[in-house]
Amino acid sequence: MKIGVLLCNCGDTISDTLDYEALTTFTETLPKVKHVETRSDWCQHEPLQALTQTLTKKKLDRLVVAACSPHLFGPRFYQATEEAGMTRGQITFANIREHCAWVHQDNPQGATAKAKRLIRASVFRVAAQSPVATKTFPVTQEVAVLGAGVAGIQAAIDLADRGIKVHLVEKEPTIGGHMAVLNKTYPTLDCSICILGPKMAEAATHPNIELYPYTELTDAKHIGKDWVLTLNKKATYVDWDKCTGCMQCTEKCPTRVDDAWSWNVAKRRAIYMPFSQSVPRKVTIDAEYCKKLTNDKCGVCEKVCSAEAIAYDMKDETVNVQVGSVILATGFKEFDPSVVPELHYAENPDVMTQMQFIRMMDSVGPFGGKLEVPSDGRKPEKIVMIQCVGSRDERYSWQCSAYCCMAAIKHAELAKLEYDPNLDITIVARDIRAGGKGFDEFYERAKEEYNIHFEYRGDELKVVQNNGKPAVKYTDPYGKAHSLPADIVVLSCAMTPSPGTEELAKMLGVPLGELGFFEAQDEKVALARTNINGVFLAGTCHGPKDIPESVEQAGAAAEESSVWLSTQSVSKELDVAVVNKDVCTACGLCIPSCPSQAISFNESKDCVIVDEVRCQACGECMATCPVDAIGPLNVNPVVLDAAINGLLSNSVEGPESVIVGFACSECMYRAIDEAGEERLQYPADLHLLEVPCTGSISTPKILKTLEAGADGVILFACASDLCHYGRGSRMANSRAQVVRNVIRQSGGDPAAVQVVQMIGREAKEFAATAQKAVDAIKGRNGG
Amino acid sequence: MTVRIATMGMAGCSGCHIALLDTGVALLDLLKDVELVYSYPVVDTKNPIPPNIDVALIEGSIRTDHDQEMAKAMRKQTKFVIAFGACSAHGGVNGLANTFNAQEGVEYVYHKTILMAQKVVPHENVPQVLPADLRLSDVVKVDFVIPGCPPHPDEIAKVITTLLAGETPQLSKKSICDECPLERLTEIPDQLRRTHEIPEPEKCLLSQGFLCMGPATRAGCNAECTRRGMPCTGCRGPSETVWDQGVAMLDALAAMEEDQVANFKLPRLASTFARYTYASSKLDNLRKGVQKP
Repeated sequence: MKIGVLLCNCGDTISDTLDYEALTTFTETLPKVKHVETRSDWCQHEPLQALTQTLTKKKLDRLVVAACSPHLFGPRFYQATEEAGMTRGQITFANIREHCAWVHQDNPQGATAKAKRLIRASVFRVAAQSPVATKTFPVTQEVAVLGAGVAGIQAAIDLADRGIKVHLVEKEPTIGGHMAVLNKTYPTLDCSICILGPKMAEAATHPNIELYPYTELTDAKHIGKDWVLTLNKKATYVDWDKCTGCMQCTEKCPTRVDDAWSWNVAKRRAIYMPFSQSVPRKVTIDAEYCKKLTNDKCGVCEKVCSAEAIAYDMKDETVNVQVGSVILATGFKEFDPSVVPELHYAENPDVMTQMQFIRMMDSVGPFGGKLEVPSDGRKPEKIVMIQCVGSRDERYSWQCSAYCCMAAIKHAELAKLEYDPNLDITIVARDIRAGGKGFDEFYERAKEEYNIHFEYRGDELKVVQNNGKPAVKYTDPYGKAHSLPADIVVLSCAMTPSPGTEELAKMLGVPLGELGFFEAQDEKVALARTNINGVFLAGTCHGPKDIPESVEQAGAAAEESSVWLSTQSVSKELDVAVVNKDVCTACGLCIPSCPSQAISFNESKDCVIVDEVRCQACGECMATCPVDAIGPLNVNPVVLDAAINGLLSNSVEGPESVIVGFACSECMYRAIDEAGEERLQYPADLHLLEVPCTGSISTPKILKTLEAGADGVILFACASDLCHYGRGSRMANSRAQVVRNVIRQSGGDPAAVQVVQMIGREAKEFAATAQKAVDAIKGRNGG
Repeated sequence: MTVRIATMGMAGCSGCHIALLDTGVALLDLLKDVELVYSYPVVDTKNPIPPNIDVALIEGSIRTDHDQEMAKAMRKQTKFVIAFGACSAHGGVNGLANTFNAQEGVEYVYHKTILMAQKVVPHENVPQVLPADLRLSDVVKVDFVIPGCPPHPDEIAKVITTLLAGETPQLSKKSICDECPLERLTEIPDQLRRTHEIPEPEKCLLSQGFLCMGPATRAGCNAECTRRGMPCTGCRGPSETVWDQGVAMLDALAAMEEDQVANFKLPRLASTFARYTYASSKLDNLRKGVQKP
């Protein structure tokens, strides 16, 4: 092995502080170092070209770049070394600018000693690293979209238009989802199905879209970068190739069933079409209630069907589809208010949800647009709507459900507009949230033009029964009690995750948030992405949102999905976790530690294997493994030990103590770089090692570092709820507490181990906290 | 040619010697090629240790200056010294005494316990207690270790047979999980459970919240405890690549019960995570005030 070391003095901005003569002499004596070259402009085109030649000529197979932050010009060096046939595993950096010279300007001697240690750590580290192989994973250029509501349909059409084959899976017999039965949309009061209908038709007829109605996902397996999805096409007991949608059968069927598409305010038959604009326009037999299927009686539908489409002997069918990407668009379910005791929803027929209310008013709905008081069929005069049912309520969900304020206003306006302008409608809200485009005007119009009343409530609210009529009793934010009698009480219910979300999350490995919705990789900049490569999010399965937001996200998901398909067929560098099969004892501790769910047992269950596509090389598994059998290829226990040894072995003369800081390469490393750019000074005792996540540093590793001679260890982690890998930062903190306890119990001073958890880009706070942490450690040593 | 074998007992419970007897029929076969020249259960051991011993099995930890002398004397006469059992190999349960000051312990026993009415610490003609419990290798060079409390009879037989055949015995490099037949862990348990609770059969004990030391403990015992529903207590010491058995398992638990683990007191830490290895563990290294001679 021949190691080359490039020293950059960055146009003297580094050499102002560091003694380059001493650095060069020191570096030349390090083992396996065959070439040391100092320049002031390594990042420029010409020197990099020369570097490629030097590497080839001198047959160097490892390189250390002692210069500025690798986050700055790292890629340029990767490119230059690649041209000389080196892989990323063979190059490493010593950040002697932002992490050293620029932040210890008043301490040249200490800074030079620190730079020596940093360079030695990098030399030792690169010697222990391995070349990174690349492997090509072909990705099937097909996408499965799970859920065919407006988000799923939009994503499917966007992808199909790009020439990508889409499998659109819907568990109901029709596509369309909630939007198909919303009647109107806010804030424009456009007809909902008029917007969605054409999209539904396009999805059904698009040559690149294969529709799977009445189909559910039962299993998902990852093969290479592809997903193999097992789909269960449920039996409809009607041959859809023959069914003409004439509806003869639905008129004659004698069995009446609560209609879930009308939220049970109406009945449908056991053979049914969900709604009149269903796509495909076919009927389905509900096997649970059909007398023929349950009791072998009746058989009316078969008799009346002139197309001879009824097939009582139909069976479920299983199909497998292999796709390169999956878009989750499984939507939501309206919160069930019967669990809220004070609303008496289940006992009182005159208390209904917004979905039931709008379905009742729908002119093409089951009631044909009649609005009547359910308990006695009277014409209603007073309607009270209650906001924030199941949302902004600690018992159920703290989250604002986002769509309900506008939906309530929309339904109130519709009731007045289409039914009776003299209706007395009051909306009892915590406050009205009208942040979207045109929303506030919509709200103002409700007050001014439609004379809809708005009242504001505090926490206390209940529905009582007064002379056979419901009344809403509540206290306002000032504590004053009010009572509003009503003919109908409408509850604006939160969105909750649709049933089956949890199973789906397990199958695909996508994490769920606290409220049970799918979590995006980042709620700001990667909204349509999940933690699982190739799986994207669209619509309300990600959280409460309205139609425009759902469609927007669907577009983003389609975009990201097609980018994924087009880029990922290219090779991937296998800088992923590697298992030492001779050591792995298959205890399985690493499996739940992996945020990407990339680890599983091999077939014979005598060791674990890593899914090279899923693995993000965060190193959580490495910290969890008690026998050091697993770890990212180039941040494995051996490499880390080499780097620590490089920092700590003797023979560097300097007045400073050596404190080892493990810095997360996501947020913290950037904050530390920025502290350098701003020349914020902190003690030169602090020597930083970049790790993918502080969750990769185990309890033994911390103690081992102390045993190796470190005066202290500091873990620089992200804020605990902002860890890019989920629980990494929390684990770092937990481990540090364990170590501190062990040290305290053993009679030592726990101050030797510090944790700093902070949000990236807080350079000033970093410098101040680093100073404090170093002081705490040195104070312990009496220094 | 017969092989001259000796056995010796230091601070221990003779359990390892019982395990030797427990090799059963295999022992009869072994004895054909073996001359037992020195062994306190069967041969007079008052005489000086006989010379030219081929293999010595030394049980127990080094607790007194007498233990130390005897170990050194045995080493002088022996070609191949085996640390026999957990005490000898890693310090054993005795090592937990290192969480206390040795001198205070002696004072307590002779002054405060009811049986010691004289309240005098004997000094003449009795061995003196060392400041800390030591494993055999802290005192003399050890050629091989048979771990376990007690060692598994099959392993004892195998090691001796291998030696008699003129070969070097090998310990398993893997961990208990490797031999454990229970179904494996894929989820983090939500809470720790105590040993007296009844586990679900055939499912990984750690995944059920029992503190099983299996992942960090050296294999070779056929996972006799875990396959019967008893969590591994780690008597066979760390497996080959484990830096420290107790700390490794502490780490695994940090994921499960952050708050609890962070507050364990030392005796609990030691007796839970380093029950058989405290005297040779990193935990003991960390401890102040105990100086190894």
